[in-house]
Amino acid sequence: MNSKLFGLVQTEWRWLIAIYLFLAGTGGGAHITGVYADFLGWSKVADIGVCLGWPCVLVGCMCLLRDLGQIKNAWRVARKPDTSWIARGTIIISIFMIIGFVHTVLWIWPGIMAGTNDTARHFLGALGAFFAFGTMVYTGLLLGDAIPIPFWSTVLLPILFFVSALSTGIMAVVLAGVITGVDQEQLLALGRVDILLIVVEGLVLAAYLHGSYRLPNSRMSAEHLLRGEAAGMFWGGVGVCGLLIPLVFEALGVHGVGAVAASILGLVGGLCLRYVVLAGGAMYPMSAAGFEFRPVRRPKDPMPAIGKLPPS
Amino acid sequence: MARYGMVIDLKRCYGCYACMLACKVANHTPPNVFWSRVLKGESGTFPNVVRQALPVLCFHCENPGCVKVCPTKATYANEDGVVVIDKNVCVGCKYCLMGCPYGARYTVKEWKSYFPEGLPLSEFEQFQKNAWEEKSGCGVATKCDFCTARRKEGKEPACVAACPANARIFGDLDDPNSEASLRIKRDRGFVLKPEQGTNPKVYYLAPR
Amino acid sequence: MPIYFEYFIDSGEQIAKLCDKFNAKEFFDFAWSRFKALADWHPCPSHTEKNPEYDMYTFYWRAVMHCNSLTQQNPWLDECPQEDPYVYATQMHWKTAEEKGIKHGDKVWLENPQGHRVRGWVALTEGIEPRHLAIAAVAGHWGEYMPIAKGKGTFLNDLVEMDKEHTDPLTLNQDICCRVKIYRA
Repeated sequence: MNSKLFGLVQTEWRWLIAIYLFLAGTGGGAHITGVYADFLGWSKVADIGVCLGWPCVLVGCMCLLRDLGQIKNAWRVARKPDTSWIARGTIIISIFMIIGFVHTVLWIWPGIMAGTNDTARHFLGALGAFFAFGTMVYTGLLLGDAIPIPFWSTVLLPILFFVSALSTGIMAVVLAGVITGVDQEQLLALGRVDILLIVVEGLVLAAYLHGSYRLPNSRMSAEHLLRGEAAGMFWGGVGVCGLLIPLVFEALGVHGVGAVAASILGLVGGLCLRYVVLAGGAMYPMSAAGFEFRPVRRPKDPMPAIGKLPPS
Repeated sequence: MARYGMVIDLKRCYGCYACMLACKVANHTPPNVFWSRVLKGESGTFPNVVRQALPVLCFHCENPGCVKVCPTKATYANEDGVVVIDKNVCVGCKYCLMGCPYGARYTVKEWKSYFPEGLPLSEFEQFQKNAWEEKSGCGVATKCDFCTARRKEGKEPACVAACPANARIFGDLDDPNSEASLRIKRDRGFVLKPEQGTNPKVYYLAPR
Repeated sequence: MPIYFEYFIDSGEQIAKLCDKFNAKEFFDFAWSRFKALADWHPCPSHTEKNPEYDMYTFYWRAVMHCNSLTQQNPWLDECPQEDPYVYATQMHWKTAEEKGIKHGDKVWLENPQGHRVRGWVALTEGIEPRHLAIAAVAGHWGEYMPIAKGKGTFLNDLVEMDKEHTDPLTLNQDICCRVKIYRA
């Protein structure tokens, strides 16, 4: 563990929660992409988007339940929406999943009202998009409510997660679209929207890290990402896989296998982004009467205490 | 209807860890769970260096960061001002561990012994395991509760009773004549991380 | 508080007689001048070390929660200083560490002029003389059957030599200050 963050960084929310945040964001983004395609009349892309949306969030919720300590009380999680973002989030994503499920059953499979009732579908799609937006943004607000961790308490974090979720949602739809054989022009058009989103995401990420670096309390968290132990995952996973490669491939208009590769790497980048943000969440040390009290790092392995004796 | 709090005199504390140990013994906490712990700090340049110990525990804040973020209402402040956790309601989401600015909350996935794996548990360890699972449980959040069981018998919390320097004073902050309130007023007690807005009820007296 | 140790003169003469009887005079050949009544200071080998490589002095201090080496095996007592930067570490002034290229948390070897060496890890602090190393006593267990104590702290005892030069002839005390050189492991 990085010596500067030892004892201060949170260690409880790691991969399972990162996967949940990523899947919630991607599901919301895919659903919004599907609704956007629905309004444009691209019916196959719309079906893919809505069909990807709520199952992703459902799988994410399974990960969340796996992370809980006492699952038998899980039904109580929605009890305090007045102050707790977990409670509010549970309500939002539950409604989103129900809307997505209804949308799928009615218009996609088994498609009871398929092909008819366009206005009802548009209305339900818009409602689903609203709750998808809530799903994407609440993941950042959830982290921001942990006030002792200054790395998360910024408005840029929900914005970053929102843009990243839209981007990964589009990439998920493109991935499924290439596999199921959707019209190439539509996928390339989605790719062009994604270029804009990736550029915005890069700018927001730069602003987020710059802001964190400037505040002394969150500086060590920003350094942990830029130069510390999370630097590999940040620059490699988020920078190259999540931003650079999808940007280049979409700008070049690559389709087919190239688009599949770019989408997969982009999704991996989105997951890495959630993980490094969680891995950097540290509170600042306590100080009193002019002293600062930092927890200290100790070498992990118990080493034998004596060396080789000299020849006598 | 008391409002319990504590005063810790930093001039008297010399970092002997007696409070940390007494808490561990009284509450049977497993390894790496420290409801009360002692931090060490140093200041100055050679040859004018001062070292200071800082005992920290759950501060039972009046505006607790942990209660605010708990989604199931498992943690709440009872009428004595002591923040407690109902282990039958807690779902183990660990959000409260992020919400405490002082790192006072812990969670244990499963009970572990101090000794290496594979050894049978001694009778005392079995007793400890049962006591821990009965009182606090695994998978849920746990923290200091100002020794509720001892207070019911009329004793002070274990850390207060164990301090050899009498550096810790436990009392009712609502009562203006309790020793805790008097010391806070006279010696200008301060709190840690006041900018977080949690209003802790454990005050420190400067090492004057 | 006695300042005149008369009995040393007497015991010196008695020991001389015993040495004559058992033919062991060579062993105590350096000591006869020291059996005198007034206290005196003779530099121990740590102070007369000529080799400039061995430039650090070690000394030991007592951690408050440990008493005699068996308490290191007590899991509660061992857990208390888990986050304490001083108890299980070899403390060093940070300027000296900078000169030697050692950072906080580095594992180091301490080697005495006789070639014995022990391993520890370094905690940098301001509160120590720049050429000194502070080691908490009764630490550094290496036995397999004390699993909780094993490997924690620095085993100072191995640096303490047990021979004629390092023993006080009057009381048979060991010289516990050692001259060591420190380098990264």
